[in-house]
Amino acid sequence: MTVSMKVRSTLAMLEGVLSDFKTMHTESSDGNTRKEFERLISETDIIVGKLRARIEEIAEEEPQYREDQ
Amino acid sequence: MAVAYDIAIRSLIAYFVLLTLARIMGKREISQMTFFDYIVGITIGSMTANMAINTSLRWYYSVIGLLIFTTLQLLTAFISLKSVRFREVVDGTSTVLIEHGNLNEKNLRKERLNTSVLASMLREKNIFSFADVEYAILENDGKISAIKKSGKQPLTPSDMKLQTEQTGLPRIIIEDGNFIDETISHIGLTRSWILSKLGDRGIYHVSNVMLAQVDEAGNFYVDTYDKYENSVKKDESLDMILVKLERIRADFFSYAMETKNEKAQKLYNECKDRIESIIYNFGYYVEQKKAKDNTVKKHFH
Repeated sequence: MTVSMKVRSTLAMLEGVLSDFKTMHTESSDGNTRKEFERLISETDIIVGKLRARIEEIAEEEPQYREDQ
Repeated sequence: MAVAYDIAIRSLIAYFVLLTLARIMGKREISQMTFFDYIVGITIGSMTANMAINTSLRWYYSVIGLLIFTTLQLLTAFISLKSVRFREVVDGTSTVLIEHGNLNEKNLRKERLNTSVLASMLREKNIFSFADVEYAILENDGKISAIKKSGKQPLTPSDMKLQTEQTGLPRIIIEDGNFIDETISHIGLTRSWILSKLGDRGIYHVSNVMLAQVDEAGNFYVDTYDKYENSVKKDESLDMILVKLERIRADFFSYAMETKNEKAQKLYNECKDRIESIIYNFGYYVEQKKAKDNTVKKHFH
């Protein structure tokens, strides 16, 4: 597995969690809970953004980062 | 009109006499009736019928007949319990029809069975070919018992030399939200053990359980009320999210360790820190929610 593939699978898992948070945000009626989830969603969004940027970088550098050759 | 009245009274008496005698004679009659038992049953029935509607006879005449028949039935049953010879005379013996895969013509003739009747009896036992039968025996009650050749028998764990646990008799220990204490103490369990087992499955009160069954190997079957199931599923998915977050954290940690690129390392470490704060906050939320749900459930009970 290349580094790029590993990071992509982490990103996929993170995006899964993000969508779970979004679902719980819409389902909750309590004001405090909603705010809590809004915070969690924006935090997760930041990480997703960073990870996407990293994946693009890796795509450019990929040859040096192949582990399985 | 007098006759109708008479018959009503007689029927009433006949009904209860029959009920009493049937109870005395026991269960054997239905499940293992031999041909003779069957005829005795018919005779008893017809005597009772006479008692009910045959107004030309005194009602207690039938009772005399019934009592004698019942007593004799009980007596023969008792003696055949004591004596094998007597049992053979009264109940007859079972007859071997197929022996080592060969039809026993003499016995078939003796029981007046033809091969097509035998074939249909075997089919009822799910045997469609005579070639599969090792032994077939005609029992006293007219039913057939058959054993297939060892090569034709279903594969069992012991054929495969597999160890299996003796599961024993599974017992119901919770029904409709209540412990069945009699059974629980009989099989040597305690309420607290069961509660801890339920806790493992995220069930915190017995009132949420519709049915729980346990066998001697300790296998546990639980079914909760549908109303409760949804909330359990939600709790489970919350735990799953935490597990995923932990895995993501571990991924970031190892990426940071593996990379030689300093900028990337910084990014991974930052991501890891952010994930840790998410885990902390979300974990806190999950704990709070579970604690709240528990108190609600307890309160509800």
